[in-house]
Amino acid sequence: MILICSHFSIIERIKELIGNLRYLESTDSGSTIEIQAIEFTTPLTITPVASVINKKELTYNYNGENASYLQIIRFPEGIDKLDGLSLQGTYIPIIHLHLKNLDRNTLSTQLNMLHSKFLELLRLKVIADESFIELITNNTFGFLLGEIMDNIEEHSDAENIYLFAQYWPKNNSCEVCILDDGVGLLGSLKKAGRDVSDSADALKKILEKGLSSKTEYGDIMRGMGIKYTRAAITNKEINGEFFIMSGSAAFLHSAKSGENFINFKEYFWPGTLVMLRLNKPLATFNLYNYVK
Amino acid sequence: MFSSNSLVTRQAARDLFDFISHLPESDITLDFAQSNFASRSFFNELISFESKLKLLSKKITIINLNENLSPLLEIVRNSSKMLSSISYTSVSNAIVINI
Repeated sequence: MILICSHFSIIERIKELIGNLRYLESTDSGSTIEIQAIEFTTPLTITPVASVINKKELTYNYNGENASYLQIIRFPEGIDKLDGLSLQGTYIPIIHLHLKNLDRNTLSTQLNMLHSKFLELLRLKVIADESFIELITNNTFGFLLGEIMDNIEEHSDAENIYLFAQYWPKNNSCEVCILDDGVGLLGSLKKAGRDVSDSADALKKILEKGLSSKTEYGDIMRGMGIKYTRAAITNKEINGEFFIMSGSAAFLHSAKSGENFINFKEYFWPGTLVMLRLNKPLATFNLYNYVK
Repeated sequence: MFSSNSLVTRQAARDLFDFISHLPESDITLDFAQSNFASRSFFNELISFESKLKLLSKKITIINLNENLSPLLEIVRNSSKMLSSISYTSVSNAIVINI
């Protein structure tokens, strides 16, 4: 059964997520799943569940706590158009972009437009606390989303991407989760002939050496996106969390609790998922102190 | 040329290069007045094709970058000159969790 509790610890939320994903994987396509309870969701705990439910064409009946919240965030199908979207909360609904058979130019255009619209919504509608945006700066959100979206375009070969953002005014934090169903970090590196043995090895080499599926030449710098994203999120000012999951491995870097390397036993996430949690800084954040 | 005021992807820069390389003019001005955002990757790709355009006897001038984009372009320009000195941190001290 699906169970999403209100765990404070991100490690517990990750464990719960993997448990839910294992349950979904064991379910036959087209069948009906059971949801035990949904006490409190975050983009990390709900977005990958939505993507698997859609992929396997699963159905569910749930009228318990937060059932109406699932409806308003458009769980699980998501929306594929942001134009004319009327927002009345501190979230942007689950966005689901279908990328199958798009040529490179069209994919690039779609991602650029998604980025632009998403930033606009985040700034104008979702994060109603103007001081949050002023201190973190819209530039920071733009930079972080840009890094992830460019990686999707360059490396993922994805057919679907999902994006969900939630802001919590009470604790002045915002979480964004973006995932794709592409080849994943291991698949991308192997396809490019890189020397990687498994998901954990791929993730480690990306984090420690900036290994990329793309070749550097001339002035082209590759393999730096994750490095800069981590630096922008996990410093003492933003005090945030960076989480990346691909294949059978994941990495969590929390400004508060440090780094964790996570190995999944008998579970494989196809594609790549990134979660960013940003907290309101005490003073105006200068992104370029951490991106040099 | 672009329908969005975000220039995020490297492909967007490549599309721009293709467009410019087919222009008859040799001096081209890129006006970023309508661009709210450009990514590090976009700028990196843009800088890389400045030298390719030189081979085509073309030159680009970038104008009207906003206060957020101007420093990012400089960072990307300076970083590309120091590729070999960019460092990464080890994750060997990360606590391993098996789920």
